[in-house]
Amino acid sequence: MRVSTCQSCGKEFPCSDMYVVYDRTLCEPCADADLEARNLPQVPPGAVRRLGDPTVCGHCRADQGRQELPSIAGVPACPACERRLRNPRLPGWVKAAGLIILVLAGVELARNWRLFQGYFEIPRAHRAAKAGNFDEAARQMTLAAGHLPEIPPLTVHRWFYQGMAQLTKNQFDRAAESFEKAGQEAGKSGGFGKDSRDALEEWLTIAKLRGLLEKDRNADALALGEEFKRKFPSNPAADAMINAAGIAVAFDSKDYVKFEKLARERLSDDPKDPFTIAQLASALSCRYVETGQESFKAEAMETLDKARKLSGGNDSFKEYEERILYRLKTREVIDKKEYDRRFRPDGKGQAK
Amino acid sequence: MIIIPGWIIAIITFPGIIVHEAAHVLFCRLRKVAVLEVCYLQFKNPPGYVIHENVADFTSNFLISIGPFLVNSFLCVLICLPAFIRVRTFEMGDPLSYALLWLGVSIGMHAFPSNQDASNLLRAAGAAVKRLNPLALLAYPVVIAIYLANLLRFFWLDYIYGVALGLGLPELALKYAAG
Repeated sequence: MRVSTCQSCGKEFPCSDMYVVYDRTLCEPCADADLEARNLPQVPPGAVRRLGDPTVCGHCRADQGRQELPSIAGVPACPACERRLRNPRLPGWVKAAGLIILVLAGVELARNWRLFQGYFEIPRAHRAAKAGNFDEAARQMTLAAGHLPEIPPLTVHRWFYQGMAQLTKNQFDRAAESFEKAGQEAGKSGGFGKDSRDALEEWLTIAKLRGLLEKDRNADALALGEEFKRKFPSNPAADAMINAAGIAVAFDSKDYVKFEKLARERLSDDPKDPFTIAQLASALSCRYVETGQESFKAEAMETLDKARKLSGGNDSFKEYEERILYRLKTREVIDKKEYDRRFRPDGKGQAK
Repeated sequence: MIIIPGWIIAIITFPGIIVHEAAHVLFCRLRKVAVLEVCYLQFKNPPGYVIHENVADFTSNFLISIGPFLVNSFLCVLICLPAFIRVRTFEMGDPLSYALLWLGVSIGMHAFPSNQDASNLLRAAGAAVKRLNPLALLAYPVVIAIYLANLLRFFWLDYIYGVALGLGLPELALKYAAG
C-alpha cells in the first residue's frame, strides 16, 4: 500500500483513500471542506479525481503490498476481482425466471404437440386425396381427427376419405357405411353447408348404386339412380348414375342397342377414361354377337385398342378386355360371374 | 398515433428489458470483457443498462452491441412458437398461451440495440477501419439500421418487430413446413 501526505492537514493517508482536488492532494475530509469552501454550483469535470493506489484493489480493497495491479477502466483490480468482472454472472432471480419461462414454454410445447401433429396431418391428407391416394388420405385424416377432437369436421373428412378409399377398392357396402357416418358427423358438427351435405349424399348413393350393380341388382340400382335424380335434378352425377345402372339393365335384358346408345352417351361425357371407352367396345361386341356384322367387330377392336393405350397396363382393364375379346372370338355373351366360373376358378386363371 | 410514455412501456414489456441487459452481460462474459455495473430494470430512462470496460477488439464490440438482437429475437420465437399454434391457428387460447405470447412479444420488442450500443459500435468500427479490418465495414450499415430502428420506435417499429417475429414468423414457418 502506498501512502501520501494531505496538502491541507499534513497527515498521512493511504493513496487509495485520497483525492486530487484542483491539483492538490487531499484526504477525504479536507477534500470535502475545500469543495464546500469554493461554493461552486457544479464541480467542473476533471477538477476532482481519486488519487488511487495501483497496489490496492479498487473493488475489494485488498492490499497487494508493493505489487502494482493492472487496472480495469482505470481502477486497479486484483486477480480475483478481475476474474469476477470478466466472468459476470447473471443474478439468481434472472436465472430462475429464465428457467421458469423455458419450462413453461416446454410444457406448452408438450401439450400442444398434438396440435402441431394435426396441423401437418391435415394438408398431408388433402394432398394424398388430391393425388388419388385415399388410403393415405384416410390414414392421415384419422390421425388428425384423433389429435384434434375439438374439430369435428375432421371426423367428417376422415370418414369421407375412408369411404373413397373403400370405393376405389370396390368395397361398396363398406364405402356406403363410411359415407353414411360422414353424413351423420356432418349433421352433428353443424359446420357443413347444404352443398357439402349434398355431396356426401351423392357419394353415398354412388357407393350404394355400385354395390347394387355388383350384386347384379341392376334394376334396384337404376331405381336408386332415378330417385337421386328426382332429389337432385341439376346434379350431373345423377345422370352418370342412371347411365351406369341403365347400361347394366340393358345388358341384363339383352337390349344391346340401348347398351350401345348409353355407352356412347357416357363416352361423350368422359371421352378419355379407358374403362368408358372399353364399355363402348363391350357394347359393340354384344352388337356383333347379336347381328354378326363385321363392322361392329372392327369398331369394337379399334375402340378396344384406343382404350388399351390409355389404360397403362391396368390389371382391372386387362380383366375387362379379356372378357370382351372372348366375346368377339366366340360370339357368346356371358356375364363376369359366368366367365369367372368357367375360366378363373382360382380367381387368377386366364381364358383359354 | 398513440404516444405512450416510456416508463409504461417498460412496465408492460419489462421481461424484454431484463433479457436485453442479460444478453449484453452474456456476450461480455463470452468475450471476457469486464462488466462494471448492471441495471436489469428501472422505471426511468434508460430502463436498463450495462457498463463495461472499453474494448479495443472490434469483434467483441460488435457482439456485445448486437447480442441482445440475437438473443431477444431467438427467445421471442422460441417462446411464442409453442403458444402460437393454440392461439392463432386453432383459436383455443388459454391463460398460459396468452402469457407466453406476451412474454415472447415483450422480449422481441426489446431486441433492437440502443443508440448507445450503436455509438459504441460506430466508435469501434472507426478504429477497426483504421487497422484495415474489412469486417468493420459491415458495421456501418448495421449502425445505420440501429439508428433508423430506434427512430422508428416512435411509430411502434419495436412492437411491430416483436409481433412479426413472435406471431408472423411461426405462421410463415408452419405454412411453409406444411407445404
